[in-house]
Amino acid sequence: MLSIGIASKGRIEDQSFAYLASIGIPVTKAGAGRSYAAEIKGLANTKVWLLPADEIAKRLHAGTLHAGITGLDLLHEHGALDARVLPLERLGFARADLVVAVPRTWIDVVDTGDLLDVFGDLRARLQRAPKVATKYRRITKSAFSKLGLRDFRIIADPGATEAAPARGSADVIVDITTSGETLRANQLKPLGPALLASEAVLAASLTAPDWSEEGLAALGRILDRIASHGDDHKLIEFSVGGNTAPLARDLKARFGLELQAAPDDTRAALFVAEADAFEVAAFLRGQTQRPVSVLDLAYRLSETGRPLGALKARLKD
Amino acid sequence: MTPLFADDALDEVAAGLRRAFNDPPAERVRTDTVQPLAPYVDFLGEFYRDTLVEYSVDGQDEFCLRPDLTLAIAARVAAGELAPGRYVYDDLVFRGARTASRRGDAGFAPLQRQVGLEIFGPGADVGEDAGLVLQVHGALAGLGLSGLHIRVSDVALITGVIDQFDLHPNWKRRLARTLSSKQAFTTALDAARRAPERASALSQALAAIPAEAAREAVTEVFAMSGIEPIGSRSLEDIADRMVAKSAEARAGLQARDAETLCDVLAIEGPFGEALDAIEARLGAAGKSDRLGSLRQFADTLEAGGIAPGQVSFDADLTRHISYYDGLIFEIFDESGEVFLGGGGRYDMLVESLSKGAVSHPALGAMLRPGAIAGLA
Repeated sequence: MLSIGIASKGRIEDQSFAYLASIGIPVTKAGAGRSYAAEIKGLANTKVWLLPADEIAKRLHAGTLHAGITGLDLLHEHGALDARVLPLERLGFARADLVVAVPRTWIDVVDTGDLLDVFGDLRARLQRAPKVATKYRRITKSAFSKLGLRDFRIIADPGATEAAPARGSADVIVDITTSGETLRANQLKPLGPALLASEAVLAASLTAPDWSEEGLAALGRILDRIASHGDDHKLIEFSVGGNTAPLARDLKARFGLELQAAPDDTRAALFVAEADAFEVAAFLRGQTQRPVSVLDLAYRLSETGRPLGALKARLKD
Repeated sequence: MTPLFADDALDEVAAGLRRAFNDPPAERVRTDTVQPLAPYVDFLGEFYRDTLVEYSVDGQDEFCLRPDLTLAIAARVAAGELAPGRYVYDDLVFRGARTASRRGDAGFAPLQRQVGLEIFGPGADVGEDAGLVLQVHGALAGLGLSGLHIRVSDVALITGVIDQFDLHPNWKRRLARTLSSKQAFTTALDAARRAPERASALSQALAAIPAEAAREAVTEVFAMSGIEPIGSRSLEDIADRMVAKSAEARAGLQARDAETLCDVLAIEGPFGEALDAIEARLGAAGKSDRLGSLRQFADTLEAGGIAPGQVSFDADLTRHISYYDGLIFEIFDESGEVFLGGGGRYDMLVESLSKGAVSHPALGAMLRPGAIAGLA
């Protein structure tokens, strides 16, 4: 059995459901609307839990879920990923940056070296540690420590984090931003590169004690669906005859494509990126003087299933 | 868990240490087991918080179990509850987590008994520091321990080295301030080296005009843009720093000075030899009064019965301790493996804790009866 968590609240929820539907995994809530359980038609040995994204991250660390779709930021916030959680696929939605933001008036502060300096001045002048408002305590401490920023205090402001400097409860903030709009509205500016570029990910727990072959197989099917989604490759079918070596050499030189056709095989196939498909097909027709078909791919299942292979290897360790 | 009070051997060791610290007489002082959290986190920062056992009441008032006796006692002096003088303590400290320590996990205990001496208002002379080390050594000798290893460093020596560089005072301040954290120090050192290239176009433009005119220009930019300041820094603070940045860019850290500083911080070894190495590294221009004081310190220890072979110098020791601002020492058993205690000087501690209201120089030392009893 595979227990998988899907976000039921917040910015990730709607997009998770839409994303899963788009790759052919429609999730339906079981029973009444408030139920925490859901199901995926046609996917055996799977139990779906609808949970807040934060709770999914916690449970993946704790090992009480096998897999889940949640934010990369939340996974990092709940502990070091190395030993406990393996992100399998970035899903490309719910993108946001975790940034340090300072009041817009701080025109003298352009990088973290300046921040170290201003923190020192605040400490000397106010005789207290500079205050950082954030809900991302762990990521902030780890990132600040790497930047040499050690003398500060984290304030868990119960209100909106972005308003903390204006309220006077913090000097700077660390928060998630998508467009920077909210920061600007609160007279703040982001400083330097993002501490973390987050997005929705499918992740697996390395600490869950009860991984089974059936559970891994179910996860493998979800990963195959994800891998086939957004695959913009076309299948080009064409006929070959006689010596294929010159054609193989030209395909390699012009398009970087590998032609693998047995000498006695008269049909050959190539996977080609959609953008190149017409060019390649026209080239092949010119070379072979025979009809060439370009086909849409419904699915393409890679033979190895790379993320699943990585997970199996880690679970063996 | 080993009992920390109802244990005869441990009580005997602790009583021996208290007696040794009571000459000259020191008043026995107690502090509350439960302490307000804010002063600790405010003073030592967020990373110290990892080591605290903390809780909140109704999600508002935050407390911690006493994590450090020096800070708890210094806070009472800062609050005016205790007058300057000599104080001895024998109490428990509580730790919520192992921290990355140069001594590793070996000395970690969630609950630790400590016996110590705090002197508020000692003289500034290094002889006072030596006197404290001799008293600690004597306390341990009184319990039958010999061949102890003492590791010494000195924050004042390092800040003295920085002070001699031809460098903008702001950079000197920053380097000195970040000494206790390797990463922060490296960041500050790198910023000081790259000062000219880091300067923004605006600060370069400001550098070309007199400071007062530059300040006015920045203030005028703010006035024209109608930006209202939010938070803890006024527009004047920001304008002043813009102007200072332009001056700092012209007086960054020379590569050779950065090298000297890193070399000095890497020096360790027998005390006298290490001082020779520092003197040689600083060269003729780097003659430091502080080196003279440290040699006098070593002589006083020797005259008091501590053989030169027992004392080593480790400049890097200054990088791990937060409130010390002068001489620092750590004391180990004969094998050099078991940490028994340590101490040093923290002249600015009371002033910082009282936010500038009260100032008393201070010296102190702590010993761990558990570690000492474990050697028997």
